[in-house]
Amino acid sequence: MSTAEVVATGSVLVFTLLILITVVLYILPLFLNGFRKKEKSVLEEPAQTAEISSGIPGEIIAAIMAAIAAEEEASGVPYGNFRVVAFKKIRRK
Amino acid sequence: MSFLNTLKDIFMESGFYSIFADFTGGGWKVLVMLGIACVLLYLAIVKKFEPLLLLPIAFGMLLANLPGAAMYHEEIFAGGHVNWPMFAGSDPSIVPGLLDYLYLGVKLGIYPCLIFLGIGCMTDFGPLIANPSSLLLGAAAQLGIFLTYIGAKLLGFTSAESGAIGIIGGADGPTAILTSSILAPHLLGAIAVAAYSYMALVPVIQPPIMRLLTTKKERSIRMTQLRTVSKTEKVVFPIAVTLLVSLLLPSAAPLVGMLMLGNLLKESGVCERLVKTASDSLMNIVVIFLGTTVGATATAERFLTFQTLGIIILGVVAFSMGTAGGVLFGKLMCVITKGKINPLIGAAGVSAVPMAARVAQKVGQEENSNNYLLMHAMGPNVAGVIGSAIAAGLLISMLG
Repeated sequence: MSTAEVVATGSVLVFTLLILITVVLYILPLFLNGFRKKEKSVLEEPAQTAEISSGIPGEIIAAIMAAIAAEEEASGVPYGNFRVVAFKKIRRK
Repeated sequence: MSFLNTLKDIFMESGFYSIFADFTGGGWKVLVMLGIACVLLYLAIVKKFEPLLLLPIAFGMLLANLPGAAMYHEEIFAGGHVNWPMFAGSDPSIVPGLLDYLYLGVKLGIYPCLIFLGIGCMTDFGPLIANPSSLLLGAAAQLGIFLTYIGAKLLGFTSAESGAIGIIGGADGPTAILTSSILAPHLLGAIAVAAYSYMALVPVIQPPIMRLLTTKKERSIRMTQLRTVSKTEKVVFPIAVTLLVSLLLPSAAPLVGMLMLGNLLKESGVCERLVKTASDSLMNIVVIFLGTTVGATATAERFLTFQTLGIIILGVVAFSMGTAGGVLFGKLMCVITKGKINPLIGAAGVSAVPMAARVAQKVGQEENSNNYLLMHAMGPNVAGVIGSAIAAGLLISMLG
């Protein structure tokens, strides 16, 4: 095979295969979950990020962050960056 | 007198004698290789460049280049295949060493696939399933593989060698090792060293390219939160991908199949012990064997050539082009989705899990400290693993 053939065939096939998987991934949830409206994650992005970087389940982090937010609202004292505070609380636990 | 003769015999059998008796003929090469091995050990231990693999690779290089130790014999694997009669003693001058036996795992394609099993056990494909278009970013980042293939051909490498060098752009160590052990076993050591060194340098190589190809406004784009992925989807995903990829491209089945087996073990939730073993003990054992034996292939005759220099240069080209391909495709998706995709996540399409995703997160947060791209970048990141395995399968079937 010539260089051009290898590059053209390779690139096209990689894209084709991954497009096929993409299509399957778009169709799959429709069959598995039904044609419901997409649900939003209960986790906030900072909690999800923290879950990946710390290994602590995101639900726990999200719950702590929610508790901090409620506490802040009730007391009127701002905690600043919730994420940092949440990590500190988890560490203390 | 006999005491002196014994001392003399011992000295003449020593590695020192081998090096200095024929210093200009080849002894200096041995010293250079030992020096390179020590530099790589330094990078692994002090600079922490992918130490889990670079350290065994460097030590394997050290062991294989010790004159007289005879732990690895190129002759047994000459011509790109295993000369089995030599293991049975067909050549009395060659007694197979420890690394010869361990290298069979590389030569027969066992270790890279077992590592993929462990990777599958540790990978969460949730972000990819939640945002399937990430797969296209993973595909675009494979651009580096094919552009490097052209570059290698222009530098005079054969088609098979060029394919093996190009796969460095996939930023996936086991894939690079499997591909080069099939297409260009004589370049395996140099390719593995280049691949793992550049993977460690992802945080250095990628950010300038990402900044160069994107505007401040694009880097600041906040992406909408990903949907929750059900357990059923996560269980069906590895089965569907295995069936689809293996039926369409059987040569990719070993890597993709083992990756998906590992993932199915994890997501099924019923094989906890197997997941623990595959992702922990088995993975660590295989990493030791793989690293040491791959390093052992970097003997002076094979490593100290202009080809190695070419591979080192082409390796950084491959990584850069892969990153650029992902970011440029990310920009295209940004335009198509009217600014909903941050192009930075395209850079994570080169595998290097999860480091490339972390780099996307870091560069994004430099523009907007409240921007959390990590979850979004994990999609293209794991897509890159699948993409590079598919690209490897294609190259093997076309050039092997």
